[in-house]
Amino acid sequence: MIAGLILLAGGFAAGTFGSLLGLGGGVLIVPLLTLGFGVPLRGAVAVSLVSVIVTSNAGAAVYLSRHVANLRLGMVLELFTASGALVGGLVAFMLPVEALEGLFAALMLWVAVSMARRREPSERRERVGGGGNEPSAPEPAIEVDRPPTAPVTFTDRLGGADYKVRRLPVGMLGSVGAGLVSALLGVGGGIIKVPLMHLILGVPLRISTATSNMMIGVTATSSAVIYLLRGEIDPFVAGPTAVGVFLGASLGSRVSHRIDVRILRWLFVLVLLYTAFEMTRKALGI
Amino acid sequence: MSLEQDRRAGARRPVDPAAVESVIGRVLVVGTYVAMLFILIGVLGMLVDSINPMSHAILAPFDLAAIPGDILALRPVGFLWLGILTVIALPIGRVIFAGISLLAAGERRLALVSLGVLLVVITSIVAAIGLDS
Repeated sequence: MIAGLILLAGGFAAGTFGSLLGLGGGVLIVPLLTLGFGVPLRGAVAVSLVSVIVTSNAGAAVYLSRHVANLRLGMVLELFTASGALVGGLVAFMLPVEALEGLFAALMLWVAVSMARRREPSERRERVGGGGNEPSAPEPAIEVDRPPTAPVTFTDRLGGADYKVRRLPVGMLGSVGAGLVSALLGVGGGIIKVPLMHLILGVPLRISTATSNMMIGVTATSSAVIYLLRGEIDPFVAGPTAVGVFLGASLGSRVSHRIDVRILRWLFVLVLLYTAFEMTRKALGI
Repeated sequence: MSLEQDRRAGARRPVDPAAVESVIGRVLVVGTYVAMLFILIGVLGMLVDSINPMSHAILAPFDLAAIPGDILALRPVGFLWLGILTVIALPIGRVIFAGISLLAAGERRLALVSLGVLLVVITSIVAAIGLDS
């Protein structure tokens, strides 16, 4: 009985901190389950994927209702993230666990460095809170019968009212990579998709964050079904963790605008570095 | 031009993407709460039955056919699996709904993209079954 409650509390903590710091829960859940609770890595990745789908579903619901996420661009890119996740889900069963642990340690190092370099505070508010509560201007209705002279390309139609999507092929390629990482390591992949959309595709940060969040559900589903059918999802671990993450993420999103996360962020960087060290030790068998 | 004239002229009415997004958003909200409710019932059942999730042995491998029986027998595992399946099904449902809406709007390329995403998910299922056997 106590073990279930501990898992729920762990999921709650991962969901809260992930939400406060603008991360999906995956980067916290996998080390929590493997290093904290001794769950085998593939099992932890599988449970983490279920949890990130939960947070993506809940986040996408809010972002779509407020018209912040770009559904069209998200759908195009998630074709590629899902393809990457399909490959990643299959490769995950071929790679030795030590290799996956080493990859996860590298990911945590990357996240720690990214967080340490992140500028505060205005940018953080955009990333974490999805830019506050005000919705962006809704897109105009799709005119099916356009005048034949209208010079609108497919890529043009993926943009928003006040921005255009650039370098879509690079975005597609990067999305495959994001899907691969998501499936291998049980994370949402936002750490790749958000900079990709914002810096390469020219999508505003707030919309990139919301669109990435929406895409995570489909991406993670593509690999989660592989883990599910291969018997890697333990419902007794996934259940309490998912409920905890859901409650924690809900709390985090509600209080994020009231909390100065600078100290929390640096503390988190230290935790990530320590966890990366422990994961590397495990990978090397030291 | 009136609606009747539009209809006679065979013109299709534009589909409002904002309305589609709102509907998807509402479905996701309801679906997420329903999934969480199933999982929460399962977790409470786990606590009542003193099931230890830390045994690190998969006590209940996934078996779709067993879920209805488990739920009728009020076994926690049935509710947990139903919740987890609902969680996984929601993004797929979102893609299907968006694809149909886009097709209705005459956005064939984006509707094809939705179909492509579904094909990837189906390929995942087939690949997992193939690997298992």
